[in-house]
Amino acid sequence: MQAISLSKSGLPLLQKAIVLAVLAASTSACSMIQPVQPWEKGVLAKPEMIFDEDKLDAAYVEHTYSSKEAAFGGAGVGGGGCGCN
Amino acid sequence: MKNTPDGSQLLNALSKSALFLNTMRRSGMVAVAATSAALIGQPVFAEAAPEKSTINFKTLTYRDYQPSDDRIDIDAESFLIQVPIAGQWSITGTAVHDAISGASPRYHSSSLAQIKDTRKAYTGAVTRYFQQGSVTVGTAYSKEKDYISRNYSIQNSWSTPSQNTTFIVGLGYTSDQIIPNSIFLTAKEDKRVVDLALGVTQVLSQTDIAQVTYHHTRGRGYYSDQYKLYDARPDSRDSDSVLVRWNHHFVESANTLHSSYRYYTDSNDINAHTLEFDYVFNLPNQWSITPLLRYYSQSAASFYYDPVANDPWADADTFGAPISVVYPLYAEGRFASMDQRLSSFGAITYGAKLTKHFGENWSADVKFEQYEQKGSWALGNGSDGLKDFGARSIQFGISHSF
Repeated sequence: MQAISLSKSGLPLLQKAIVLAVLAASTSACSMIQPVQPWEKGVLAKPEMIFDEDKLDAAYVEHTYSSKEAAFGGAGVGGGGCGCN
Repeated sequence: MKNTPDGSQLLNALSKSALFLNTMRRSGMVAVAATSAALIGQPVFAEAAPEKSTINFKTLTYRDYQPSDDRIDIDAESFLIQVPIAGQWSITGTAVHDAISGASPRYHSSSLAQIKDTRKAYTGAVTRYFQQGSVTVGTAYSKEKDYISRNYSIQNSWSTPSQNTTFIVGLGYTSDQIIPNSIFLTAKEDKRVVDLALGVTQVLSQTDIAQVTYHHTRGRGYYSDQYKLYDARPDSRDSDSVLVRWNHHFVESANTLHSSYRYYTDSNDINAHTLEFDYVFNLPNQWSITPLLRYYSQSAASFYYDPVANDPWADADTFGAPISVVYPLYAEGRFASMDQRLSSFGAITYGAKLTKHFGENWSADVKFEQYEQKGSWALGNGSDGLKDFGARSIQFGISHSF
């Protein structure tokens, strides 16, 4: 296939800057956080405080969205593709 | 690699052939999979092997539609088992079966063609837990009659001594085969994707936990849709996304707010924003109800072409399609697509999940979601001329620990 120049194959500079800024902001925010002691983590151990606690629900949601929308992923690696997107 | 018919005569002949119509399947087609990072393991703050085994069974009934037509129906069942071993290991496996039927547009939201398929997908992962971290190795396999996907991944997470900060690095490799099933694809094609995830989970307070994940994918191979009319996409796609999630627990009410935002950008020029909230109301007698609200917006791919009122090359079978623009691009091996999913639109989802726990070891849930997609809801300029698109789904789940 003859290629229209894929000048967009890399991230545009502005978007790279946004990504870096978000990561940098989150890193610097972490340095201001007061530590929580192990005995203070009762609430954090509740199931509803865990990200994607219902894994099958999260998998259904991820795939039904990725069949209707161009954006996908974000939470991490793994899984695999399907013919739906 | 792809058929390049010569001239509008051939186009008309093809358009009218039964073969053409029968093989133009699927666009909004959903093959629901037990995939996604969720199954391989998220960096939760506790880095310890699960104390109990869990089994989880869930069904999904899904339908999407546009104003005058139903499109795709899915009936899916999925099963998950997670077993701890010797206090330092766990094994997680999932299986999913989808039955897919209905109709899918050949271009934009027009010319619906019947489809029918089934999909079987399996994942497996082994996790080794250490004092302050874990390593997970996972694999996934998925098979449809026209698509086979294999994935391998490894993920490492480690925490600071206080266990308040967890870092995660994940690396994945996916190898897909696309099997010819339409006149636009004459030989097997493949696609390979490498992805990298870097994440930080941070305990912010006794009632707040947040996570930031950066996800990069680099894909090479066949990205066109063999069922779409004159669909020719670049043979590479790179994407970057940043997902920020925050869970907050309200001590007085014992309710929990989940918030997330994702920014996505890719080499097709698509930028997308996703904002999502749900709120867990804990009710008496181990009931909870969780309403959810999500907004999504994307810009169009650089090679997406809107519908037109009258195109000189279009006929009754391609009415509304900009054939005189798209066909020459396709024939010259350049990029073009009339896939609704590459247009600019906004979408809203609302729904709720009702959960009931029975003692410590059993729970059941039902979840309803309603999705509406419109060009005019996009941030910025939405694409014109497409029909609104909607979907609704119901999940039933049951979970047992032992």
